[in-house]
Amino acid sequence: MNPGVHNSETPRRVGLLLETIDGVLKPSCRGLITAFRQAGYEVFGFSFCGEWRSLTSEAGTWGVDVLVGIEGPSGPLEWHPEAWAAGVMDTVEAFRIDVIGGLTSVIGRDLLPRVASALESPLVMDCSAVDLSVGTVLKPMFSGKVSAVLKLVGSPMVIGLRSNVVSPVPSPRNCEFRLHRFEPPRRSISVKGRQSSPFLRKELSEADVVVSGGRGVGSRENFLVVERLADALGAAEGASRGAVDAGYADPSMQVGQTGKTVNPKLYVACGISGALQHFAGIRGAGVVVAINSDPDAPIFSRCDYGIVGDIFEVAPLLLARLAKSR
Amino acid sequence: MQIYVCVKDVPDSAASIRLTGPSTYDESVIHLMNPYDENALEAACAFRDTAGGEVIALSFGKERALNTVRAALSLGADRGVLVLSDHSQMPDSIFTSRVLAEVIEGEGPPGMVFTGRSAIDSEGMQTMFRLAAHLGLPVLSDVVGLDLSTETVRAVREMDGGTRVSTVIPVPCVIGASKALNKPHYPTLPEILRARSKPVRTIHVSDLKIPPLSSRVEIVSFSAAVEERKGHILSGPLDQACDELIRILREEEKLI
Repeated sequence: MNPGVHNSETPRRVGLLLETIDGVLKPSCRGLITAFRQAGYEVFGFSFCGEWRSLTSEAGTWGVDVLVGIEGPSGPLEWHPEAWAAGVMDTVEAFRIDVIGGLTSVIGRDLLPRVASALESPLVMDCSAVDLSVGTVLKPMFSGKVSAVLKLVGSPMVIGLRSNVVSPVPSPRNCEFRLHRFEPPRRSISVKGRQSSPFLRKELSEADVVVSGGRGVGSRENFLVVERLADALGAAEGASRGAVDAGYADPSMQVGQTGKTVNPKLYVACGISGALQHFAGIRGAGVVVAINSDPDAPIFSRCDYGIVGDIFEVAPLLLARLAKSR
Repeated sequence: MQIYVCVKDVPDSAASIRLTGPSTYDESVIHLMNPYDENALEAACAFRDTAGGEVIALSFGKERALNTVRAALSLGADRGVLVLSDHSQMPDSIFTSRVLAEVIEGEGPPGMVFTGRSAIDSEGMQTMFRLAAHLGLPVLSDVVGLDLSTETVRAVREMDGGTRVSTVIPVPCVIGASKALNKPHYPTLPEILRARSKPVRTIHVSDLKIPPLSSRVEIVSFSAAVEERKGHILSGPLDQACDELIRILREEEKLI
C-alpha cells in the first residue's frame, strides 16, 4: 500500500495516535506531538475518544493541524485491538498519511505493530528520537546498552516513541476537526471484560516520577512504605524483579528488562540492590536516587544520589520533610 | 496438532556488548534463550499436555542458535527446526516473520503459535504480528493470563495502570507471552537426557523459497550507550542526609 504520493509541493503528513483519559490528552502525548512536529510535516492526530471538541483545541495547542475523530457506523468505538487497527489503517489511506506515529504505550504496543503488519510497513518501536527529514530513528537496543540509528525504508512508515523522551513544547495553531467513519471488519478477538488493578494506580511506563521497592522491603505489607513515598511525590509505584518474585509486589509493577521500561524525571529505588537487568528498565531516568542499607549494593555506583540506610528509617524522615514543604 | 513456539538465541542480558563495527558486535559473548520465549514454551507445553499434539521449537539464527533449540527440547518441546542464516546484520522482523511463516507452512498447519512478547536484543516487539498476518491468524501479545481449550483461547492482556482485559480468541491463533504469564520450570535431569534424542532439523534460509527482500529497517550505526550518573552518596546521620537529599531535589534538580 502506498497511499502517499507527493510532488515536491505537497507537504508530507504524519498521523499520530493520540491517547486520552476521559477526553483529555494524556500528558505523555504532548511530547509525542512535539517529537513529530518537524521537517515541514503536516501533523494529523487520530483519536477514538468520542469527545472531540475540547480535544481538538488541546491538540492544536501542542501542534496538531488536523484532529481526525475515528468512529464506527454507530459512533465511538471502545478499545478493541482489531477494530482500532482497522480504523487507523482506513484513516491512513483516506488522508494519505506518510508516517504513522504513536507512543510505545500499552495501546501502542498492540496498535502500531498490528497496523505495520497489515500495511507491510517498516516499524521501529521504543525510539528515543525521530528525524523525519531522513527517515531515521534513534533506538535503545540490547537492554539499553546500545544506541542504534535505524533507517526506515518505504512509505508509510510506522514509529513508536518511548514515553517522556521529548519534552513537550507548545506550538499553537487552529486545529481543524474531521470526522472519519469506517466499517470495522469482522472481529476474531472478543473483548470480554476489564478488571482494574488494586495495585497500580498510575501507569508506570508514562510516569514522571517513580518510586520502586526491592527485595530489601521485606514483605508485601512493608510495601506500604513505597506506596506512602510514592503518594507524597505524586509518583507511580514500581518494584524490582526480586520483590515481584518474592511475592511482595504484583508483576504489573515490575521495572526492568523483563518488566517495564520507565522514563521518569525522578526514580527512587528503595531496598533495591541494582541488578543489571533492573538498570535496563531505568536507563532513561533523569535522576536516580538509591536508598539501601548495604553500602556495597551495586546500585550506589549507578545512581545520582544515594543514602546508605534502612528504608524504614529513611522513608519517615523523607516523608516528614516532604510534608513540611507543602 | 502442531504447536509452534518461536525461540530466539540472544546475548545474555548480563553480557557487555562490545561493538566491532558500525553495525556489528562481538558475538562471542554468552547467548541463551530469550527470557520471554521460556514463558511461551511453558505455555505451549501445557497446552500440548492437555490437548495433545507436538510442540515444535522454531528458530531463525546462526549455528549457535542450535543451543537454544536444544534448550527448548530440554524444556519440553518435542522437536526443533533451526533455519540458518548467514546474515552479517540482524535481519529485520519483516524478513524474520516471513522465514518463520514459510517453515510453519512447510511443517504443517498450526494448531497454535506461541512467541515471547519481544526479544531482549533487537526489541522489535512485532514479529508475532507479522507472523500472524502471513498465516492469516488472530494475534494478541503482552499476554499475562491464558486459558486454552481446543476451540478457544481466553487471553488476558495487561492495560494501563495494571488493568487487565479479558479476551476470547479462536484457536488457532498467535500468542505473545509476557513474563507474568507463567513460571517457566527448570529442566529436570530426565528431560535433559530425553532431549538428546529429540530430532532437530537444520535448513538454510536459502532452501526456503523466499524471494530476496531488501531490508526495510536498516541499521545505520550502533554506538555504546553512555550512562553517567553523579554517584553522590550523602553521608552523615540519616536525618542530615535526608535534609540534604530533599534540598538537592528541590533546589538543584528542581524535581519536587
